[in-house]
Amino acid sequence: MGHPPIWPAGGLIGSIIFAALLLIGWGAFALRIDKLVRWMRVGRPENRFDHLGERVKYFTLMVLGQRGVLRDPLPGIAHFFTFWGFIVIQLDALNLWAQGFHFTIPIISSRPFAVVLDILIVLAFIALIEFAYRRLIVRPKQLASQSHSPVDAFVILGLILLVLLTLALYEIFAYVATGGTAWTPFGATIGHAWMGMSVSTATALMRVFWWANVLVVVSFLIYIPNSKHLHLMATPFNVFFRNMGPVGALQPIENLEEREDYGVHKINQFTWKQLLDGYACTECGRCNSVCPALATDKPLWPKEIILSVKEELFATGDGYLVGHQQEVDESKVEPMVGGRIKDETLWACTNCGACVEICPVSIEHVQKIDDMRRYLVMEESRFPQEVTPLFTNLERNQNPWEISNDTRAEWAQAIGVKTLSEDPAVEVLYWVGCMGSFDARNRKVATAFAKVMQAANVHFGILGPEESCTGDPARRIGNEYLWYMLASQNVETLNGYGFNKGAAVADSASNGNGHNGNGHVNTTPALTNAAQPSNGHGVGVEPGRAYNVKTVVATCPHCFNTIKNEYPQLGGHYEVIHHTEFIARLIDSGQLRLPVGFDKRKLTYHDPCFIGRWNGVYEEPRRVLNVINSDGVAEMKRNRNRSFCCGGGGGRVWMEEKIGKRINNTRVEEALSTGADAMAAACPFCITMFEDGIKAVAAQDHFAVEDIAEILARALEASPVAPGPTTARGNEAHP
Amino acid sequence: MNIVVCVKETPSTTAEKRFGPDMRLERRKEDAIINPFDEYAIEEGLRQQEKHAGSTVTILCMGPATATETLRRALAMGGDRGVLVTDPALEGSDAIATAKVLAAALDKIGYDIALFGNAAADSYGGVVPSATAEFLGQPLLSYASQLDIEGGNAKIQRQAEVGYSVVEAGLPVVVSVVKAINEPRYPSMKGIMQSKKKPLDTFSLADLGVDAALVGAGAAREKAQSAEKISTQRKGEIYMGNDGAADRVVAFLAEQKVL
Amino acid sequence: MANDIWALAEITNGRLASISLQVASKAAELAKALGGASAAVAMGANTQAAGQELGACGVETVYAAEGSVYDEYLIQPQVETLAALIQQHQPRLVLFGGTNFGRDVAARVAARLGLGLEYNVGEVTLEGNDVVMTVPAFGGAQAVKMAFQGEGTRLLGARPNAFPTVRAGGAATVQQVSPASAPTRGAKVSGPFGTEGAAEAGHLGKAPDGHDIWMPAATRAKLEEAQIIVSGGRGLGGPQGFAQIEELATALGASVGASRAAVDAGWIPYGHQVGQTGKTVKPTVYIACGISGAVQHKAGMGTSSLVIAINKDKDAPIFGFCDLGVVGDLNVVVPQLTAAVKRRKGE
Repeated sequence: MGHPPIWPAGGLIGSIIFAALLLIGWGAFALRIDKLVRWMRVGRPENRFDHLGERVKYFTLMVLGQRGVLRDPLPGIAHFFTFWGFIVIQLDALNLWAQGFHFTIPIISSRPFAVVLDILIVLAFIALIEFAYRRLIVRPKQLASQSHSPVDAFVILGLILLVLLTLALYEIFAYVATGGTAWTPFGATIGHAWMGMSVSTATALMRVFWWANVLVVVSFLIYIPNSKHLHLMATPFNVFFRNMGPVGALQPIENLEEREDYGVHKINQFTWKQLLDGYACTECGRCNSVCPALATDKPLWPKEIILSVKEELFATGDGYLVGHQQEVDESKVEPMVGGRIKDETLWACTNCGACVEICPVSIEHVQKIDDMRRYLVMEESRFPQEVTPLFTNLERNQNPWEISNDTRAEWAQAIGVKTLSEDPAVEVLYWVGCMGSFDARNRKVATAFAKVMQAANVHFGILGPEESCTGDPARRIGNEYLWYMLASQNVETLNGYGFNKGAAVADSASNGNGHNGNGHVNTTPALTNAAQPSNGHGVGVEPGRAYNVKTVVATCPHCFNTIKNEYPQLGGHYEVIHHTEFIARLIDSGQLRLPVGFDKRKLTYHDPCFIGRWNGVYEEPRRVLNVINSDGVAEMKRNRNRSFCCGGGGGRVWMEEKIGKRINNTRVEEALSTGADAMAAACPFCITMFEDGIKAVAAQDHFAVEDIAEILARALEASPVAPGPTTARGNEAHP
Repeated sequence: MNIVVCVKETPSTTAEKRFGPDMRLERRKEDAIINPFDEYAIEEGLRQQEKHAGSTVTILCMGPATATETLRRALAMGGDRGVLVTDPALEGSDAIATAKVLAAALDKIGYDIALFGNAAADSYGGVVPSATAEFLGQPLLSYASQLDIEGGNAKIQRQAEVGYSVVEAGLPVVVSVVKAINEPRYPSMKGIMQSKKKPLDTFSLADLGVDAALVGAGAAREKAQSAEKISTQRKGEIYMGNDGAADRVVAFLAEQKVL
Repeated sequence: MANDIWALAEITNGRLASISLQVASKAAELAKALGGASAAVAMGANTQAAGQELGACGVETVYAAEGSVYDEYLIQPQVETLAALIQQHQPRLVLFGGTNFGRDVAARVAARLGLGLEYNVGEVTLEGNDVVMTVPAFGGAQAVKMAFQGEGTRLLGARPNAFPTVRAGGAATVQQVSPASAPTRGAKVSGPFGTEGAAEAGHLGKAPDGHDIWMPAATRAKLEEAQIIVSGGRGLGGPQGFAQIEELATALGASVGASRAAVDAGWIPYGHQVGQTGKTVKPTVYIACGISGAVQHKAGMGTSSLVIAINKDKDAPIFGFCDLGVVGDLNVVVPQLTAAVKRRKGE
């Protein structure tokens, strides 16, 4: 069944020519792939074979299920059909090639397969028209490129179209030539009308289109790995080898005090996975479209960074290959950092992670940017001048300012909060952070949160002068050494008070990954899966309790992220939660009773990047607001994982914002457009940035920014709640 | 050109400071930093070295034996070597004795230009550069907010209380710099690593040929009798309303001896 | 001899510094109390006129060395003359003003003659025959009482405005001293005063050596070096608000600073920005007008000796770390303050 009586190559000579053609095509393909793999391997080693089960699962979902691209419905569906059409056509190509050698492959040559194939040909054809329409008519800004021509995109569209066309025509004439034996839905439908054609003409045409199809597919083999459509092959690997988390952690520099190079300024200092990112980039531009720096006219195009790394690899990769005779004369090549990738591009990044979050092919932009910042700071000492006092003060005073760290607990004395040196038996450590400790505005937040905990009878304390900056701003700006010094000191302090979860956790964390003798280390104690955000609740909490003894609670998402996700790199494994999660747990367990609907204002909520995208905490703050506010949250257009940064992350709050529009003002305007009276926030840097932004757009008379803890503290003060039906308890709280 | 930058180790500006029973500062090692004013002198030395090929930069410090760490920190910014003058007999030296020792060390090291910060964060004396110039018998270019060296001649803009003047002198010369002269660099990790390998010589008083009887607490011509903590709390007086506010501010400035 | 108290006068291009009158007044007072003679040393141009002013503050003798060499070279001629006079007359104390000039001269003289030297003195008292000085240490965190030990002349540097000028109304005997000769290896004052911004500068006249003396239009110290800073923030309401700030600064001889908000709003250039990402300043007095005082601003000025705040928002954080806070409308208070300062200075 379905056997064509006529072999399409045209006899022995045809088969020989065809064999030669395949050899050339596959040979060129193999050579190129070999080169690409060898280039990729000039990168540093990195263990991306951990969590294999999870990887397979995610791979299935994202690659076979196309879940990533489907988030953008129309182009997503088009992509889905192109992808599957392509796969099925490739399978069919095997059969076509087999016929070149006078045999067929079962299953692929069956009628049901032909049905599937033809449906997909039609759907893929429609999808291609949609793509062309987008490129030519819609022209979304994200697809624009600074340095890359769109020709590539049309070449590939044209080639795929040719494959589809030649295949369809081949099917038609095969049907005609075989008198209906070579049945395909498509061939039968259209070929039926052409049955009058002579067999020899039909056979000739069938052979012409067979050869045309073979030629196009072979040219594909040669073209793809040499074009931007390299991503067709690299993407599945990139998704498979993606970062399994915790995504909020930057990878450490190993052997910090013994090595001679820091960060990345040449291609072989990236890891192989970072180089693979370049191959995998589809240039879809989604990262550009969500970047807050680019949206406010900063010279940062996340996509260009990934492509620049790839171009740099193509331009200089040969110099680093094993067995390459000539040393790379670095004085003669234009440096990558400062050349292809400009300093101001790297400094514009807020580390908000919007690019990483949206990338359908698991590219990690932020780690690369921060790796290059490390080079600028640690090797070149080249960074915005206004950062120097930050570094100096962090070193000398353990806080960003020229303020004695001895005064860290001053704010707390007024409300009777004790330090751990006074009361080491506390169950909960409130990690206040520098902003909460020293900044007048954020001291109000710290005070409010302390009052909330007092109202809930939480036995808590603070470290006071024993607390140092977590090092987060230093690390994000690229001063890994300073982070290491501050973090080590804090780990020692926390361990001294018995907060370390102990050796068991540490052991399991180092299983299957951990140090591997290179620039990057994977220490992954617990998985924070980007596809499945942690619900932040109930993980290992003792029954009947809102929290475990020896929990660290932070009001600052940056402190929270680095203690939770990065301190494990130094052997510090703690139970760390953000105060919005903590409050939600207190409400859920009934330990904190609130007057439901106390706040009558129209409220919007801003998701801080470092609890949201980097840690998956989206719903807890909303749950709390839904209890305290009569109408819940009036969402901004960009919310949850699409939240738009305040402009303060990645150390940006310590730098001048001289280029373009101010990010904080942009976000304040978005908040105002909801018609809200106030914006709830959950991060001291967001609050600082928005306080400025609100004044800058002259909205201070009718709009304010407040931490969730402040809203709660005001409610508790105004109407202390006795246990009763009007209070929020457990699941009554939220619909 | 031999550039020598003289630096002082001072307690951190935010550290809790206390006097011991002998009315001398109790130094805690972890609080020690490079006198922030001297960082500008180091930076200027390094910039001059970049401008004048073949120059060497030596960082010179007089202090306790533990000051090697502070000296390494200075060398992390740059410079070719460090020299620490340390001797138990130096403890409690006054400004003039300090200048005498620094001058002896400068003569031993050899210098074309000796750079100082214009004051120290812990004393705000600002007399050591001038006294050192005197012991060396060299001209002093003080309070420089700009320094140009050309053809064996050094020219500065000298910051005065108001405005500035231009002063010049032939090398060798002693120069003190003000903070307006530059922005000190932050040491790179490379610099920190390299600083550990840079030569660091230690001189005693005997090495310098300075009579121990002329320095230290015994030779100091001033003696602290007592110290009391001044409240660093802000006075926090609040004046409500516009009426009479201006007069209150003027009176306050007069009380504080500003006007 | 044993209880003679002197004052070192500072004369630049023929102008006597006001701090010289303060130290002269104190020298006269101490000499009287100790039963010694008081004198002042004046070197440079216009020493005759300076002698009269110093005499009016109570010093009995003025050693006057008239000569252009004192303005042509930096410090060294003054050191020559003062050292020679001290060796000749052996006074007990020489008071000098704690200015750049005073410190440079006194340090060299002390080094040359092996004399004791104390500086930054805020208060001098007599305990019997002993002179006791109060000196701030550690950025003002401690007040240390110091005494001289040993024999010989001692040099004592006074902080600006530490001693009041007392014009008792006497007349000094002016003793002419032959001027110093030019040093062989000298630091030569070669350029005009205030080269920068000469275009808009006022021409003040000719220096003794013939070079032009210029005074920049804005006779302002750079922010990092300024003793008084008047700073404006968002509360000014617009760029025109800085005109008031400028006027107050001019009246006080202060420099002008700004908060990041004012700079971001484009009311004043970045060079004036005080704060974490701007300049770090440490003046004697910082006057914040319309600045709320967020920690990012405090980071740049928190170590100022005195902070005065004017703000209409009584809850502004700056009122939490000021020495004097005015809760009021700066558009009213600042012009009144400018006028009051001018009155006080007799302008």
